[in-house]
Order: sequence, then structure tokens, then C-alpha cells
Amino acid sequence: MNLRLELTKLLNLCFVFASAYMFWEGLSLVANTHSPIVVVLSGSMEPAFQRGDILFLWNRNEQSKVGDVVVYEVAGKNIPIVHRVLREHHSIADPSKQVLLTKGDNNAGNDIPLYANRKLYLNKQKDIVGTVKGYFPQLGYITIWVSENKYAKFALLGFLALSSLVGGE
Amino acid sequence: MSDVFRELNGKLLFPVDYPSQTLLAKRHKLLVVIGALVSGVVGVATQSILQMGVCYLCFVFVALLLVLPAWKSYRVHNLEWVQPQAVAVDLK
Amino acid sequence: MFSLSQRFQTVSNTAVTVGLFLAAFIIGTSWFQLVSNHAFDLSSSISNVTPKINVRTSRYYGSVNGKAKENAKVSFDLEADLTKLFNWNTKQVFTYLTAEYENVKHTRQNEVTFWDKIITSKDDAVLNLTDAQSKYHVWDVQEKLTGKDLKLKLHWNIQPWVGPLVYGETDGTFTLSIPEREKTEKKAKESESAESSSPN
Repeated sequence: MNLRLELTKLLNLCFVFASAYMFWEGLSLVANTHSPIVVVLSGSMEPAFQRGDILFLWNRNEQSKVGDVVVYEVAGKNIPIVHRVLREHHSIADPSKQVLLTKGDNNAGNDIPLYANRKLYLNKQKDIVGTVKGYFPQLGYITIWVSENKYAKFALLGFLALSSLVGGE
Repeated sequence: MSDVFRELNGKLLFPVDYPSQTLLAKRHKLLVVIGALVSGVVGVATQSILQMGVCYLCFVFVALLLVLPAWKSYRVHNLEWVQPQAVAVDLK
Repeated sequence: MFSLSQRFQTVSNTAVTVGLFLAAFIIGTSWFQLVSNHAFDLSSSISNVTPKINVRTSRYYGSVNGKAKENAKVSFDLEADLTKLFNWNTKQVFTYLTAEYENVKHTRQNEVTFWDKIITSKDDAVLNLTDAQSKYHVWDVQEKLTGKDLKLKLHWNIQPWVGPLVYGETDGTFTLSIPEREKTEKKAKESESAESSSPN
């Protein structure tokens, strides 16, 4: 068994993972958000977005407009929520100071019960992760399946490692 | 460990001879592009993206069927590799 | 193209690349269809807008710490033909009626939504509403709504099967002036709604 050969193959595998991570971070930098691609987790925006759709976010807009579909995270929880802006109020002198009220298309009422600290509005600078610019249907169901199934994570990693080793030569 | 993988790789090769490779490279590209054009026309005619997608996938499936299995006609011009032979050498 | 895996990779790469061109073709044709149908110059008519003011004290109606907050609802007539927005790439059309206004000192610009509707097919795309009720109670961040001029407009948003979201607004507008209420009238309404102030 040639140690150097095995280590070279391991290096190739690390290279694949590292370049995937670099792509993600590069995208985050370009889109100016910590999460440039999100998966829709709930059915609160049906029939526009189904559970499992992938959304591409962009966060270089200074203001959000009413009708934009935005992704925000409730302070403290890491779950992204995809809803539409119902109302916006911004200062004319300083347009970056903007507060928003959101609501899911498929929900009966607005998002006030979801906001943390009994707040009535979201702050555009602090709470919004990004505005939805495009989408791809259903491909994100893999991540939902991985996060909800205990063994799926290991199965997926194992499959990736195996395919990279077998196809490497 | 890597010897096992190498053997496995050797079994899964299903090789194809060289003239067929050039032929296949041209043919599958042509097939897929024609498939895209036809499904574009079908889509605009039926005004349905679903019809267009189904038509395109059919063409891709036919291309895969044509290319993936190592049909007999692709292995006609196989190269003859020289077999290793044991030769007695006088070292003195 | 020697081994099975190589052939599979080559064919799937070609299929995906050509598929991307197909997606660009879909986006291009649907955009061209929208522009040639003058979808960005649609007209609409908003009329007969009557406001109704309520004062509420619960957090769900915008009240902070139980202080009284003025909420507004409107009833309106709306006519619009949104059939030109539907093509083979349209998944749904989201249409919404908004009101723009400024605060008293003209330091803040606001836009609120009174009513919205999801339209999923071309057959439902002609809007002809009389005396429709707004879906949402609307309140301002800090001030009252009485005494303000609101400019109402109808917007639309196409959610496509492939490609980016498209936004636009129709031509019709309506300027609503909410009159100041009489002090006595306000007191009567406050006590009335305080008795029945459970959120509906």
C-alpha cells in the first residue's frame, strides 16, 4: 500500500470540499448576505413557492419595496422565513432606515405573532437576510430530507466520498 | 484498499473503440441540440412548459440510450494490445 | 468517452448546458410576450373609496403597551384587466392595492397594503369589484391616519415557472383624503370600541 498515493487521493477529496465551500462563501460575498441560497421550509407562500424550492437571494438593495418577497430570521432563531412585504415605512432623509411588516401569501394574518421581543416591525438593515430574485423548483428537498432523517447525512457524505474515490482514477 | 477500487473500476469500464468515440462525441451533441430545438417549437406551439420539458427529456433519454451501452457495433475496431511474453535472457 | 462513467458525464453535461439555453429561451419569449402585449402599461380604475376608522388597543392592531391606535379600513371599487400578464411562463399573479402617504412633517415616506389577491389562471384575471372590503387593518408607525392624503395604486407581481420575478404597476390611481374626526365623535367611537375591543 502506497501511503503517498492514498494521501494524494485524500488531498483531492479535500480539494473538492474546499472548492464547494469557497463557492458558497464567494456567493455570500457577492450577494452581501450570510445565506445567499435558502430552501423553502413551510407552505406559507403557496402557490408561489412550495416546500423544497430553492431561492436565490440578493441583499444589495438599500430599501425593500412593498410586494418584494424577502427572507428574514427572527432574532435568536436560525430558521429563515420567506414572506412578502406588506408595508414599509422609511425616512426620507436617510432611506436606509426602513421598517417592514411582512405576511405569508398563504397565511390569514400578518407576521406580528412571529416577531421577537413583541416588536411590530422588522428592521431592514438588521433582520432581512435578502430579497428573493429567482428560484429553482424542488431541488432543495434533498436538504430537507437530510435535516429530518438521522442517517441521511451520513449516507449522503458516504456516497460523495465513495463516488469521488471510485471515479478518481 | 485502492487496489480493490482499481479492480472495481476495471470491471465497470465497458470500453468502446476509438473511431466510435469520435462518432459518438459528434452524434450525441447533435441529438441533444436538435432535441432542444424541437422541444422549443413544441413548447411554443402548445404554450406549455411541461410538454416542452417532457419532449426534451425524451430526446436526452434517447441520446443516453444510444451512447451509454457499449453496443457491438462500437467495438468492431478494437485495438490489439501486445501481450506480455516471458523471454529467457542470458545475464552472463 | 472511453469508459461508461465518462460517456455518462459527457452526455449529462451536454444535456444540462443545452437545458440552460432552453431556460434562457423560455425567459426570453415570455419577456418578449409581456412587452409586446403592453403589460407594463395596463390600466385600472380605482373609485368610490370610503375609509372607516377604528381605534384599537391590542398589539395585533399596532398598539404599543395598550395605547389607543387608529386603524383604517377601506371599501372600494376596482376594475382591472390582468389577462395580458398570463403566458406559458406565468405560475401565478399576485396583485395588491397599496396606499402611499407621508407623515405630517414630510420626513417619512410610507406605503401600506390594503388588499391583495392571488390569481392562478387567466380566467380569473379580470377584476371587477364593487364595494370590496380591504383585507387588512392599516395603522401608521407613529401617527394617526386621519387628516392624511393617501395615494392608492394597484400593483402586480408575476411569479414565473422559470426566471426572475417581474413587478409592475397599473396606471389607475386614486387620492383619498381621510378627514379629521370631530373630537366628540372620536370619544364616542373610543368608548364603543373599548367595550367590544376583543380582536376579531
